[in-house]
Amino acid sequence: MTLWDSLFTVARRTFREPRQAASDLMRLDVPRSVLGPAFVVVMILSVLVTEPMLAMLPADVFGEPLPPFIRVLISVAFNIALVWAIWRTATVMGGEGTFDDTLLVFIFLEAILSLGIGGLMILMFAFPALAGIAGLAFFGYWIYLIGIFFSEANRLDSALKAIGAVAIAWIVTYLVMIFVLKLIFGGAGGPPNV
Amino acid sequence: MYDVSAIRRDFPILARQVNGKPLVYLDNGASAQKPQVVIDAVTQAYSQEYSNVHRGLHYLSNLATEKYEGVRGIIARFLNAGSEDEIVMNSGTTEGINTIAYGWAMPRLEAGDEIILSVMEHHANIVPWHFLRERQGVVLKWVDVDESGGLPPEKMLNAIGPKTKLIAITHLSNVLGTRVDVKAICDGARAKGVPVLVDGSQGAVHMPVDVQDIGCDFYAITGHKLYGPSASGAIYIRKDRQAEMRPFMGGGDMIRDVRKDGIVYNDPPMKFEAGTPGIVQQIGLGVALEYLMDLGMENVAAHEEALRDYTRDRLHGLNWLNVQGTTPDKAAIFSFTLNGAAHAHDISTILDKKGVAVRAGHHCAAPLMEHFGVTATARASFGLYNTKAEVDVLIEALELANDLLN
Repeated sequence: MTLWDSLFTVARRTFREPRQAASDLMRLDVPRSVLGPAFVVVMILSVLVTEPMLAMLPADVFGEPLPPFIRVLISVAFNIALVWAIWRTATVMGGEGTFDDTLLVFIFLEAILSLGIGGLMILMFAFPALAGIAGLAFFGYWIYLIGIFFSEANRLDSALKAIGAVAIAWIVTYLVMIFVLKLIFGGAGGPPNV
Repeated sequence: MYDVSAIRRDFPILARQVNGKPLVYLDNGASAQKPQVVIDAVTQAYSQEYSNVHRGLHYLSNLATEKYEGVRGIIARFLNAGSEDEIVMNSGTTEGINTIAYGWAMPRLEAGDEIILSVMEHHANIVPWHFLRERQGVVLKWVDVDESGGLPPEKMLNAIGPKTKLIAITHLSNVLGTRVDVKAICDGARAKGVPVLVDGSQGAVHMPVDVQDIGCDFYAITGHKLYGPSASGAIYIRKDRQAEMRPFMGGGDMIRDVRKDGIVYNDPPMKFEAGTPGIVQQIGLGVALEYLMDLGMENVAAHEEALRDYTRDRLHGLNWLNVQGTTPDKAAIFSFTLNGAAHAHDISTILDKKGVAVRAGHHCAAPLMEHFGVTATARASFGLYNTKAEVDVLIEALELANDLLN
């Protein structure tokens, strides 16, 4: 079985047995050298799937969206900082994982999120009435997955703790990012459309 | 003095021929042959001493009970258990591990709790835990072996997380012959409050075992690999763990009182032994263990280590053979494949024509096969009666197989 086969097996299992899938993912021996390129790939994927959604929003909601290339760059910067913050927060909470473990889980969940968003977009066109409910269910489940997978990666004793770690890390990273972007873009505008 | 020729005379089956050739029995990992003393004990038990145990007050029942219960003490001595009450007799390792899965783990583990396993476990130490995964959402955490088939204890210990509730580990791989430092694993796991179950199916056959020194919570053995009858065996369950367990199977013997509105269980170890046991099988196992202890497990281990070294040297010269499991201190168990497309079953068939009995297949260790990227291997597993001359026959047969298949 190749690494790809194993990853697909874990991805399928994620929806049936998320805890087992999280444990299997951590034991796959994914070469650490591929994490960097994989991270960039999922960032590009994530920007690509949100592109049609942004195109549908009225221009005055968030202002004119930044060009995709810039958004990929901002996504990479924001999310790598987020991963680091999750790992550090989890460590403070008693976790024993490594940065690489946290990054691996982040990449995996981001890939699933991107595919999920892609699926929701299709659903939005095919069955608009269902898309809202499906979207809520998907994001609810995704948050549950965040708890399960990050608790496994950081060896936290509960999924709730992991969700807490991710929430704290996200808020901190977001505030820092706004501050940094304001410095770079001279106070041009609020949160990045990432 | 370890006199292998004299020992071989104790095993009548070794004198027979197979396919017109002297039998070279190298399938001891699957099941070992029985010495005459065991065969005699079984015959004697059935022909002169048979009755049900624990039930009657008549002469034969008392005699059978005495002989059967005597085996508990022999097993305790063989494993150096603190008390014979820590020995639960059963049909073998599979039943033993299932007893722990159903009796100890099932009522205690919840969804998300983890059991750590190595990839080289036998199915008997995998499937019962999969039951818990399927039924209760327990997570199985797998630890890989390295390229040589070795498993440093720290790899198992590093896998322990806050939700780890059990480590279930083999003492000795039935495929690779890898010895696992279960004492180090038990020491480390105890420090983190995690119990350890050791699958001693192979370990107890090839080396002296001291469960108190190892410090494990559970240690399972199987009789038919220990030169005893099939469907015999036992599991050592430390006293404090017994107190945490509920019975696995219900029936006669394991109860003290049964009423319409309730039951009172017998004390351990009887609490975990329901129904009429394998009386004669256990009596045979007792004799087999006495036989091993008379030989001295240290002597058996030394003999097999000499065989291992000789076999390793001979196999080393065969550059078309791939041996799985190359740790220096492994037991005399060699799994191998041939270069090219030869299937393990074909190798085994050719070896059989030369009178050499080996096993071919996945050896009830499918995750390990997957880890090494093979579907099957042939396996020569040595026992206390094998000789260097038999290794030479194996090598000749392998050369023939290579000539024919490649």
